[in-house]
Amino acid sequence: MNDRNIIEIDRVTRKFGEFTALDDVSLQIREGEFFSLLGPSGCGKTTLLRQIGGFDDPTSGAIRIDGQNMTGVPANRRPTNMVFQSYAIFPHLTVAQNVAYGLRKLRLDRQERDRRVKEALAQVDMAHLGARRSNEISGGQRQRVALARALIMRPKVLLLDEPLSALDKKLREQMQVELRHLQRQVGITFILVTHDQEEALTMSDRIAVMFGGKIAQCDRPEEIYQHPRNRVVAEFIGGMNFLQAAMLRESDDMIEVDVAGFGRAEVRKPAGVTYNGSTLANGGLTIGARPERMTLVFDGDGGHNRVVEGTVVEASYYGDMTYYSIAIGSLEKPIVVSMRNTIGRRSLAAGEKVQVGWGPESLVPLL
Amino acid sequence: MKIRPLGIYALLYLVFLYLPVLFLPIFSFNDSAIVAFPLKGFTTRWYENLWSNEAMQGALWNSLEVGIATSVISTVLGICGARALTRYRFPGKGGIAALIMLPLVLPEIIVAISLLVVLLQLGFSLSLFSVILGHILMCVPFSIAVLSSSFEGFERSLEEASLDLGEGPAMTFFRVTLPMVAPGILSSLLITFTISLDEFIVAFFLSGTEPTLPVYIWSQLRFPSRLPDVLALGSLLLVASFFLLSVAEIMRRRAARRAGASSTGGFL
Amino acid sequence: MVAMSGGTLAARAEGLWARLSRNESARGLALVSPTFLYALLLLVAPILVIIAFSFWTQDYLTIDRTATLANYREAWSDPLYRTLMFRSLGVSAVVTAITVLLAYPMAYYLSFHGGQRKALWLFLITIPFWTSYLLRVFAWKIILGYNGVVNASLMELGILAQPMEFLLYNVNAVVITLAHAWAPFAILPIFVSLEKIDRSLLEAATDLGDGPLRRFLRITLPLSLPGVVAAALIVFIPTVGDYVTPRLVGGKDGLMIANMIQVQFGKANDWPLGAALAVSTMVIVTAASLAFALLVRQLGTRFR
Repeated sequence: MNDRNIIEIDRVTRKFGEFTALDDVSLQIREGEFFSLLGPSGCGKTTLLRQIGGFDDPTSGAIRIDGQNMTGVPANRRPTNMVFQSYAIFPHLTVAQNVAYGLRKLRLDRQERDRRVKEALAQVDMAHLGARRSNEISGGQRQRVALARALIMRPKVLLLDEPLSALDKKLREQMQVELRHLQRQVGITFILVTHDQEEALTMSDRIAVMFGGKIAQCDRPEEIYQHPRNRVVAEFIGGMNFLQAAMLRESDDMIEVDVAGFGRAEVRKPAGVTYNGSTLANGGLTIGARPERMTLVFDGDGGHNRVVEGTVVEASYYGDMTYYSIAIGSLEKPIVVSMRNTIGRRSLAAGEKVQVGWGPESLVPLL
Repeated sequence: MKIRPLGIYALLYLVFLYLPVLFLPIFSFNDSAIVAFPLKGFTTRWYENLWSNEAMQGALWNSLEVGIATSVISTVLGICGARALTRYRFPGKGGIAALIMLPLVLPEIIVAISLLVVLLQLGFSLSLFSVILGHILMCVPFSIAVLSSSFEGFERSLEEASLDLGEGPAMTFFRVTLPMVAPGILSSLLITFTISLDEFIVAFFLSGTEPTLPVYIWSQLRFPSRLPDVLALGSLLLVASFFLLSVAEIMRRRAARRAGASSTGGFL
Repeated sequence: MVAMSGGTLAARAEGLWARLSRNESARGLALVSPTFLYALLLLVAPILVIIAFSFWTQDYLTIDRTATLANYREAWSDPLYRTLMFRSLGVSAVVTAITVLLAYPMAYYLSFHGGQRKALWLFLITIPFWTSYLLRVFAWKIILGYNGVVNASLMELGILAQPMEFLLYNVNAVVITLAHAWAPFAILPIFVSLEKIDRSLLEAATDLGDGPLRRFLRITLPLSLPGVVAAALIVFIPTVGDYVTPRLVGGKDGLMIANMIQVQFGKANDWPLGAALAVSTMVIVTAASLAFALLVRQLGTRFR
């Protein structure tokens, strides 16, 4: 991976009649990175991918690939290749013929072509299935064929449109690892469209979270998870408690807040934001707290300097984890705190008194 | 296997559908010029008569000419129509589709006389050409119905994948679209040919002095002595139709399977 | 200079084409236009001409193009035409009722018990409908004739001493023949609508306490009604205008309106009157069909 931008999306808008699928989107994708477009269905992520691939044109704005303006360049002349959501395996051709499909234009001799096809199939562990008819292979194998067929073209950018959504959970997790591995190996920029936040978090170098045709946040997975910019992003990725807070003081990159039910803390300010006291006037700001960023203190555990008293309302058992709903005196709604079920930790029953341990690093101010 | 009352009904229904038609071949081998029971004995002489019947052979050639022209042109028009209707959205689509499919439900005589009037008014004389014009009109809806089943299951992403892999629209058509729908096209050709071969009313009104086979048969029905010949000819026509339609059905199913659709769709 | 302007013109045309070919609606319209234009030119235009003709008058060999309703007056008041029209409608209505009633159980069997052989059954049912209509009608002439299959069999069995003469050349023969000829047309739409019924709806009805008959009346039948309506119309509309069957097996008393239309365009050579009869038929058939469809929809909403 380097810092050169392979794709530059410059103020792209796409309207379908009255509906705006993409709303003034700008985005840079770096050469060699694994980039994900994450969002719920209808957020515009697939539309954006299809714009990059050349299957659809922007209403306004431009897309550049490797410095070249792609406006008016059809899909067959773009240095991108796509793995379709349905895989689009040609049913009248064999596996090997599918993979070789795009090589016709290169006018390779037969040997060279066969060698490349073999190589591409081996890359996705399908070397032994080249002669199969394409309706005789499983879903996971179809996905591999689609990958090999695209990668053999040696594209500058590989586009993947929800490639794992048709697979079952086990296979999906396995393919996530393999895809990531493959991407490292070939070093091509991958752009993945997905609605699965876990998939995006585990696979990507960077993620753009999209809502309503706009990019809500674009950052590394840890940043997106730990510091979601607003409530929509926070809710879409993992669970989060939302707390009301009043702002007491603002400095260059920190703010001091008074969080309802918890107390005072100094927390990191969202990048590029200046409150100028405005949130003081209109009723405070929202603070997010991930369930695993707080601890439960009971049976005489100690050593936490910041705790609030609470009562267990409900427990949801997940095997390795348990999620507890905890009522805190002054709060209307209980908050959720997770606990790893490690050795020596017992389960809590509803009604038990418990202390919730927290610190400034538990809290994220949201826009 | 459990036998249901409905199953028996279904079988009887099939018998009802087929039995009447089966009397044609039965009597065509009957050694009597009078078409009536009891049967008099086996003969192939009515079939032999057909060999020397020049008028019949003329009608046969006329029918083939009309059938081939009709099937090719109506399939081409059917491809345009089916493709546009299954793949694209455009204003007025419902109305256009209804209009194109209208001949399916319109009484044939209306189609026949309206064409007759217009052609004569425009100063055309009736000929095989006018029959072809009428047959195309009637065959296009069937062609569209047959082709739709292979176009409908046809995923758009297949063509996009081809573009994505570097082929332009023309090569995409030849490498992906055509091979996928070829059986459907063949099926449409066979079915429209068969319809044209068997069609009577439009041919009756528009054929002028050049009869097609059904028109020839009609003209012979007036002469009781010619009936056995007509029966032999009719039987051959039935066998030919049955054969063509079987091939068409096999092709249509293959097309539907290629496109990934279920094969039970039928013609409608 | 000329070359240059030619060049820009070509470029502009190319740009326009590129824009058109990327616009979905335009591509769809362009693609459908040959087929559409064909139907417009050879179906709509001729029918409009027929309508025009129906307001004109035949004056020996020429046509008097003064607009008049005389043809319609004659078509609607002459008892002969009226009889033929009513007979056509009556025959078609009866034929429609018979075919739909016979077809429903068949379609039901196919859809619910067709199993692996569904496609084969469908094929067997559709085959006769593609084969020559003329020959199928002709077959009935053989069956119902004086020395035909029915008479011969019954005499052979000793049930009859003399052949029955009333089998052929009357309205009954027309009804039987038409009901046979159009049977496959009725099955397919009903079958399609039955296929569309989500089977879990039936399980839900059973789960909620309906027996098989109740379930059929409350779920299957109402949901397949659109298919029944389609089947009825597909049979009714073309049979009203049928020419071959009445001519071949109908005799004098079995003739229908299409035969009269043919006479006007043929022997009688009164095109405007023929056109008026044809247009009247179309209008009446359309009105009857719409009324029927509306009626069924009304009934459908009343019984739930």
